Amino acid sequence: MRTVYKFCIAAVLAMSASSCKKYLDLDVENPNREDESNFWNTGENALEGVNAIYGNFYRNGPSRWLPYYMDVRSDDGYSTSPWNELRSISGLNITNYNFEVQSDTWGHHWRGVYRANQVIANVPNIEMDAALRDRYVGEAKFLRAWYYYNLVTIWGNIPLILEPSQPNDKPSQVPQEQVWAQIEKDLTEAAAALPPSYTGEEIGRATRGAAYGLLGRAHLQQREWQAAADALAWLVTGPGATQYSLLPNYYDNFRHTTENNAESVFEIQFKQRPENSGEDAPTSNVGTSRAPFFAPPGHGFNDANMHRWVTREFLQERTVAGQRDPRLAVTALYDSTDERGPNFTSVYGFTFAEKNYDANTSNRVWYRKYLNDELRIREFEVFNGPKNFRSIRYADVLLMYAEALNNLGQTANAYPFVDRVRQRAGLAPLSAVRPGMNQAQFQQQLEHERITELTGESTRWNDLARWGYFDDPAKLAILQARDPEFANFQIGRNKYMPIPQSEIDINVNLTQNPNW
Amino acid sequence: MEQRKRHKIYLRCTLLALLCWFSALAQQTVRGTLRNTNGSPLVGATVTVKGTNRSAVTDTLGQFSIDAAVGSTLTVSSVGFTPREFTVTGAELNETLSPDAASLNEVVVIGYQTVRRRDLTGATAVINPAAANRNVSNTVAEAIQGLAPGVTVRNTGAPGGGAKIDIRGAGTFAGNNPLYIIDGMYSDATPDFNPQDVESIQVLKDASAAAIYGSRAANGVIIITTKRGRTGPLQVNGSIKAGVQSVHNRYDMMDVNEYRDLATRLYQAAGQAIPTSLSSEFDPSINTDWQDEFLRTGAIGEYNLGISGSIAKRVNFYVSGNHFNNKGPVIDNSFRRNAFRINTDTKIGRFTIGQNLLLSWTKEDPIAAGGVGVNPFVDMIAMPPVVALQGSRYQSAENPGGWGLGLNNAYLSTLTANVPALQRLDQYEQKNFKIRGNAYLDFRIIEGLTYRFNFGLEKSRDRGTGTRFPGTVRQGTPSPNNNQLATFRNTGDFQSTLFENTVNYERSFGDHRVSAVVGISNQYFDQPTNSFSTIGGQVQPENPYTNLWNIIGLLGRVNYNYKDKYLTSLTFRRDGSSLFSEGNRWGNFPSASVAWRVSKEDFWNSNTVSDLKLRVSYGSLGNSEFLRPWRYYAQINPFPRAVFGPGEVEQVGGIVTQLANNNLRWERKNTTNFGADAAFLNNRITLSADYFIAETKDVLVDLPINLTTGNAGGNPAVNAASIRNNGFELALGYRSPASQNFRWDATLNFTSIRNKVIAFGDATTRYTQLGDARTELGRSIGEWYVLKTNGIFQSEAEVDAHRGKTGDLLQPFAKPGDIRYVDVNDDGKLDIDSDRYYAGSPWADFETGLQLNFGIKQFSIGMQWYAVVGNKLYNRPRFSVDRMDQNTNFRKGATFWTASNPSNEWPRAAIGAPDQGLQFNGLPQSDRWLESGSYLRLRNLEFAYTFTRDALKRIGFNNSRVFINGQNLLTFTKYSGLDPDIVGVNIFERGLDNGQYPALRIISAGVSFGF
Repeated sequence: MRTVYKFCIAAVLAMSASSCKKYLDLDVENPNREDESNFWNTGENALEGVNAIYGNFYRNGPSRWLPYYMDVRSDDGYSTSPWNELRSISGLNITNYNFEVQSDTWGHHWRGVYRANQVIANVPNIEMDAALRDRYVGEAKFLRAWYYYNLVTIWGNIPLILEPSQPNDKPSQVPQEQVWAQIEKDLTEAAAALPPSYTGEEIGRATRGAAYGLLGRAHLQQREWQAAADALAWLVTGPGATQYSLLPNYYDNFRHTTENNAESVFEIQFKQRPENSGEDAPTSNVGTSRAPFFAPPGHGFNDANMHRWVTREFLQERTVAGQRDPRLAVTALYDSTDERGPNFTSVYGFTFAEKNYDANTSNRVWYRKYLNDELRIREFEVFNGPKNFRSIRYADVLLMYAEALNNLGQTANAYPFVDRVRQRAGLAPLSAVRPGMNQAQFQQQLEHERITELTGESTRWNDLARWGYFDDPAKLAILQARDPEFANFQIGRNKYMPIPQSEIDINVNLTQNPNW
Repeated sequence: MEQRKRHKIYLRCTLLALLCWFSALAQQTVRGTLRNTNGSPLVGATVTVKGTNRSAVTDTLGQFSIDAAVGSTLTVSSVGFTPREFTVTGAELNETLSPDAASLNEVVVIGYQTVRRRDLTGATAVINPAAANRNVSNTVAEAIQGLAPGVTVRNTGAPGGGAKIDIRGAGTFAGNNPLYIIDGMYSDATPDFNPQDVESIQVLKDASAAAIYGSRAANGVIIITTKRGRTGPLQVNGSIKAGVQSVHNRYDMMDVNEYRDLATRLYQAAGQAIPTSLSSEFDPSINTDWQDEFLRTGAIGEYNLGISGSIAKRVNFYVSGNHFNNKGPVIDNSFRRNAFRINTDTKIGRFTIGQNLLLSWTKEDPIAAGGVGVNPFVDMIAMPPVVALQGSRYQSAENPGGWGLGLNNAYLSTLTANVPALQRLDQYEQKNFKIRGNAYLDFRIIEGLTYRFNFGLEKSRDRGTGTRFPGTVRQGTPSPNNNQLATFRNTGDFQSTLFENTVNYERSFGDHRVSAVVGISNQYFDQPTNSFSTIGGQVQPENPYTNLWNIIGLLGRVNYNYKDKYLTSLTFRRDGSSLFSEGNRWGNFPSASVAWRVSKEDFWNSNTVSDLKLRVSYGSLGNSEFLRPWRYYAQINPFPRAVFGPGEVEQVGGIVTQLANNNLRWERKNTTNFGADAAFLNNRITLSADYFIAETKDVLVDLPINLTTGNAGGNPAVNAASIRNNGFELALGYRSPASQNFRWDATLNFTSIRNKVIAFGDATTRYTQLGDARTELGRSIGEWYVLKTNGIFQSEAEVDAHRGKTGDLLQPFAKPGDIRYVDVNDDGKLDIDSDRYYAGSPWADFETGLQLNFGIKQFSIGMQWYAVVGNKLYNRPRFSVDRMDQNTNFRKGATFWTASNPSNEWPRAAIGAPDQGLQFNGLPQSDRWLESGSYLRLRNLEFAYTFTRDALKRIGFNNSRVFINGQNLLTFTKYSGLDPDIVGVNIFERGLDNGQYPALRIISAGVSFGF
């Protein structure tokens, strides 16, 4: 017994002594992660940083909710969602400014800005291949501009943050021109730094064409017609003209198997993996969850619908071969997606008739672009959809270029670019069917062309804004006739969304958008 | 084999019987009762026959029995009393012991030292473990609700769930949990602990009392000492308790016909098509009571056995085993604990070595909360009764089990989740094995000077395993994991090692008494976690992460006492923590206290007031409990991925996603305490009162930062604010004079605390808002900040008359039947943000607890009352069903305003109407959802019968008691939710009932015995 005790005592004394060494050891190394201070050192780090900005596209803000702001909110969409708050975005009567869709869309865009700012601040100081370094910074600038374009068009009055954030930053809003100027500066610098194209495993990164395309879009939105034309010219008449073309088959712009094609100017790359949620964790979604929210009952939540008037735009003229405009079937899923009617229209492998929708549902139209209806036969939609989102499409570039020329008084010069888009759809050239339009008539025609070509591709809200529908009561009345939700639209208020109240609550330098 | 086993059992029984028999074998048995001078029974006093090994311990009635010959001497001793010797003259002996040194001499553990309770200079509460143990509880914290002033306990009833405890209010924004010191080992409030092992509970409340724990003690310290062996014969104590457990309250929801009627009218009001589930396809056979489907009657069972004694008069030991089984009152929800303890002390010359060891195994099957938009205690009332629990109609690829849920607008649409289904589809079980203990070595250097080495260890293994079967439980939410079977396994290991070297000194020199301690304390933490999962059989990447941190403390304290009249205590602690950056690691935390025993002064001569002591203390404590390692710099998140190329290659990304503050420093709490302790009528009445002012500076918290920063993955920690707490505490006790037939005692405690934010970290911040609660400079934390309602417009004229000072209509969109909102800032327009007001505080004006014990002969009745007064709660479950703009079930009696059926309570409503007036009626940020949280509760009621010695003698027992106990039997409250004892979501939304697991009613019966 005694020996046992002696042994015990010896043992505790030994432990006591060994612990002495550690007495002042308060430097505990982190075995899990690198930290900011020792990260931005190598070309590999620079690449990881740039990749992480692209990685932000997989958040719900950019990948799922953006179309609610850009499409459903506009006059071509409406919502019958049972989710009251979600419906209120489309309904233009939002009362909960902190609604998660609001704060996600706002916050996830700022995450993109923060990541881009980190790369832009740190990568230039890295000793590495100079050409590659410039390209990385160029990509970051393009992506920063991409986020700011959405922020300034959705919320209008926003801060301009260009340095990596600090936790206690309380930025003030800046005049919108300042944001636009920065977007233009970033894109101009990006265009200079970025290559026209990539090969192999780099395909999908921002290119020079993407930078000019977005720069043109930014100028156009500000009604800076000459600057818009100049930027877009690189793609339309300049060096990019040989690189880009319209695909023979319109539908190929919305299929998984024909991604990163000749018509694609900038595409957000998605991939279907088993995970369908998660944020920057080891197992996070890299697909898009847009489709289930847009899909019809039985395959999705039917949180968004397209107004039926949109389908009638396509019926105004038939192709030269006497067929219905093929773009309609790609754009709208409804009882007549197949011209022959519900017995021939396929809804995820069922016929429309088979779905046996009640009267309230069977007259609805769903946005078909970016649904996975050809992949999910008789199945529910997926939250990790693989279809790349074509953020800038060459057809849009051509129509934007035509719009710029028309506004510069060069209406006749604008014809051929619209005709290229029409002819791909099989329609007769405008020069043949509507020659000699004046500027206003041509604008009117362009509005129609953009509906038939681009509905469901997140350009509509800004088109309406640019064309003055949100500032002029007479024009607003047109929207109200098309979309009863616009009864809630107040000029001077609804052009911009309210900034999440929680942001204003903790930052005295922010003020709410007017009349919210 | 079987034969041999039986043989062994037989042998053991024989031995046990022999043991009992030996103790009974003597010339005669002496029985008696020992009492304190004030008449109360002396519990736990040791009676020894001088010159022998024979001894006995008095029971809860002060009774003992021992075998002793006439003429032999009995020595009677009890801690805090002067030992006495009596000569045995007959078979009965009833005697009285007086407290030694003329007053109570109870010893209190104050951290690294013990002091006589009467010598305390700081604010310390001593909790009676017997009262605490009446409650069936997962944790010690839960058991002590209402038992000590200044100690606020809020319960959730979740099996295995911990209670939230605030000592002296909310001194900080986060991590307000006190430090637990269990037998000298730093710990936390874990459910692994067997409350029956508790010998004593002390709560150190002010800075001077807690200062020896320095940076660990800002939220107060709960010191728990477990039972130890005593010299004397072997003692066996056991108890068995069994009972039923239930949610004591239900929401009174509509049945299917009432629901159908109201829902139909709500759809009609919106001009919407009536869902066919309410019309053409209405199925009268479905009338699901979702509360019945989700809840059940739970059960508890608890078994304890403790053995203590000594071996060879040298090794004292206490061994105990505990089994606790809790079948929760929610389906598929349970908790189980097995615990085993060995405590020993051994004296060898100048050395004493001792050891405490706890082994515990717990298994918890929690409520499945996983999934988008699922809130079990809200969904169980919100799901319409027209939905069947399960049915072929609901079956789809995404819902193979056919669990009832909303399907579509045409038939039935609801965003409520089927939580009984989720409980079945989401199977998860958390197992924990823990070793916690410490070993110490005391070496008496010279008289009064002792060195102690203390080594503590806590090692725990958490293993969570789960399976998520495919299937959605809510309309609009996909079946997770792509509708494939997923398995999860989480591993978490925790190891903390403590090394302490201390030297204690204690001497008296005439009228001077000095005690002191100096030492160094190091603690190391190592916490690796990982998770493994498969989806559809495909193995997912692991997620390993290890937390490592160290804390070093240098400590010292001197207590000085002159003639028991003037007492003072000086404490100093210097702490270093790896949680801070290099320049911010060390903090100094001093404190001082003085006390003056007025009643010892010559001028004092009062027979009524037998003792009076005045105390003052001031001290500074640190806090970093909130921080996790390495939060003082931004880490690179290695997980972002970018997909590129025709092969969809995932390229690796790395970037800062979560921001960090580099200058994190110690949070510091400075407390000033004024106290008085008094005893009246020969200690029959005791009174203790304290007033304190505690200011916490540089409060560490994850304060929400702007989304414009691009921060992701949680807000960064920051030293954000200063908070002041002022409080008053009172404890009053009364004990009736001795009488064999009737005795009673009462203890009343009262606490009133106000907190106030006195500064924010930066000059521009005036408030922070979370949900509907705002924390503003100069006000309490998280006061309700909402729109002000003022009735319901009854007519077009009233809508038209509701104008602001500019003459414009305040609610131009409103219709008769809509809620009238007040233009609080009187700017002529109604704004849902700027027209909010402070509508109440989640903090109680006061809380009070009363313990009453009555004894009549062998019977006793114990009662614990507890009241919370003056706080406001936000009833989120009620909001979910009363808003009436979505399809849910409704409360019985619910209706909505119509011209033909106007109401002053229920506004106009409709499901699915894009009408701004209706939107405003269902606004969450309104005082419509606030309710008084005051309540009075009979927390515990116990009837017990203690058997007489004579009755027990025949079965060889020393003492035995049977009891029946009811917990949370009666609650008086106006709160319409399940239970007003709300833990809150976080400190900023402290009064938010977000569908909390309610405190439960438990009715149990049991027996305890000893031999």
